[in-house]
Amino acid sequence: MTGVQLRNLGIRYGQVEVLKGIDLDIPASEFIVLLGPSGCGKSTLLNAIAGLQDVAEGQILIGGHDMTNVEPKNRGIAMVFQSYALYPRMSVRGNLSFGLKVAKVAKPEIEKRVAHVAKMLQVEPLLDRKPSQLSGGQRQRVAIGRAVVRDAGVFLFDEPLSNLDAQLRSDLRVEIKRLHQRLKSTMIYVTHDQIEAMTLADRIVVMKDRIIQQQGTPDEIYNKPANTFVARFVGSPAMNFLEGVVKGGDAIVDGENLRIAAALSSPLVDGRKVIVGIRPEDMALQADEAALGLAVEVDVVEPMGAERMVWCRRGDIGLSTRTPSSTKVKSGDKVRLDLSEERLHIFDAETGKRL
Amino acid sequence: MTITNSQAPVRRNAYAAPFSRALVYALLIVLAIVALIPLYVMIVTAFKSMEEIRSGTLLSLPHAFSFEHWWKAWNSACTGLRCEGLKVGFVNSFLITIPSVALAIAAGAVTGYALSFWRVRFANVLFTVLLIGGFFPYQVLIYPLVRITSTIGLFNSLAGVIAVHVVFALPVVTLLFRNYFASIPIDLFKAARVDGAGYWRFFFSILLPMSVPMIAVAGILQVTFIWNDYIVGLVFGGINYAPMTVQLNNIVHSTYGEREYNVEMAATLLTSVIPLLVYFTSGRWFVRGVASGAVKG
Repeated sequence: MTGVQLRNLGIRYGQVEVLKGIDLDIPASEFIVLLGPSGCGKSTLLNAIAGLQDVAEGQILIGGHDMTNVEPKNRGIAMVFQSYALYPRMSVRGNLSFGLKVAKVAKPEIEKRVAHVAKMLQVEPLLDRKPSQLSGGQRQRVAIGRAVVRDAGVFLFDEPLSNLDAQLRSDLRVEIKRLHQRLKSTMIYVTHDQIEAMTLADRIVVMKDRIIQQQGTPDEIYNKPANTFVARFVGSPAMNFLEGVVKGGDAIVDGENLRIAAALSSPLVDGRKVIVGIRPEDMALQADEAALGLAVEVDVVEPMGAERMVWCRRGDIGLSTRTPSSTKVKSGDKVRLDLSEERLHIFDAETGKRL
Repeated sequence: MTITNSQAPVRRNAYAAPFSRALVYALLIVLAIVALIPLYVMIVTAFKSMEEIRSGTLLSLPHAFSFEHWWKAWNSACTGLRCEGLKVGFVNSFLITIPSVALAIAAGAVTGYALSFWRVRFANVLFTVLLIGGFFPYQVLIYPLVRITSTIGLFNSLAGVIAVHVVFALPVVTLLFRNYFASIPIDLFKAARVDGAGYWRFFFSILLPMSVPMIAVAGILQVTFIWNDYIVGLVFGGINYAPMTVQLNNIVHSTYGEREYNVEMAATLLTSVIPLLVYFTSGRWFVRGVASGAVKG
């Protein structure tokens, strides 16, 4: 099995620095997701691992070997693209076998492997069709098949589901996960979709502004975001943020005392500016105006079937919360939000780093 | 709301439509007649006897259709000292056009490919130079090219004519292919690189099969351009490889005694058969070629 290591990787387009100081250790068989907004360099990083992008500094090791300047075909990788990138003039069979033909694999062996992969991805009936005669989902299935047939140790996925509609996306997501369980290859998956990241990844690498912001299990990323960017980017709807000042171990937010001691490892000095983060599901909405908690006014209610999203206001501050559908509130109601203390996230107001 | 809004102007236009449409058609018909009259005159004249040409009106149909002049133009009209008709030029034109077009397309496609998919050093500079080359009036370059071809021993030879044609065609053809390749998603190239395809493998196995429309367009443009060329063939071909256009000119301009209008018309029509065939059979492709960034043609 093949692991991938990146050592102090830097990439430039001319004078523009696209990535810098990227250090990443991907153990064999891990499913790792590079997550970040568009333009954060995650696709560039994937291209660099594939050998499709020149590296300005640092090293790429695949399976323990230095592959920094090795041709893509010799890196033992396979890649799936957002645009499918199927060869339009070749049949599905031609697409699946092209790489093997180039590698001069014997014909019976090619046939065997193509048949095997076609069966695995349920594209057998499509083998003699052209890509233009396939639906989007079928095309991506074939593209995945083209990667699988290479028998590579490392799979690279560049936003493979972004061009598909919601239903197909979740179907193929499950299929990719199943593929990983079956092949046990190392998989590096680029996406801007945090749901894909949460559901697929063994480990998520959140990227922004040319660097890695945080890496960890989906659980760590969600429950212990390293900074306000990660906290906001992962989770839907996004985490709520309240600005406050520390006083006597509590945070004073808009005149109210919030107990933050439970969320901190060590107490903070008075006067320090902080940002208090709380996820929508970590507060309880109390319809009783006299109850404990932050007094707010209901702005918008979004019924979502099993639950409701309630968007509240307190002056300039907006707060969203999840409530069970049984909670009956409507726009304009005065309610209270009870924040659970141990679920608060405290960030430094200046650096945005978790405290 | 949207539906009523979008229908209203259509209905208002329905009044004006028959009038303006009739006007457009009338104009088109008149212009078509103006454009077609010379062709008509050429065709009928080619079938008339000299007596009829001298006596009859220009536009009347011939009394008796005669293919005699066509045969003469093809087989025995005098093109300078030789009197073997246009057939020699016809063969020469084929000998010039086919290799020129094939080489121009091959060179243009490969150059366009290198410029669009591979990070060639100074690609933009190269491309700009090519573009400027495309805008240069080629008459200016005739004399330098005569010196060059005679120095390397290609002057007055088939290879010389072909080489000059390829050089002149390169900017346009390269531009056509580069622009076409620029529209092909880069992911396709990346996928092929991961699959192990190198420079030529990607070009021949993936890019070329996708480029059939562009090859057709470039082919049509260059066939008509090179077939219709006069000056390159005249200057570089010498006597042995004078193309049809040069021989036609010799027939038309160097007759002694009475001018045989019918033979001249027949010769002209014979010379334009190939480009006309190309236009008629491939009008759609041709328009696309002209529209997709050809700078001359």
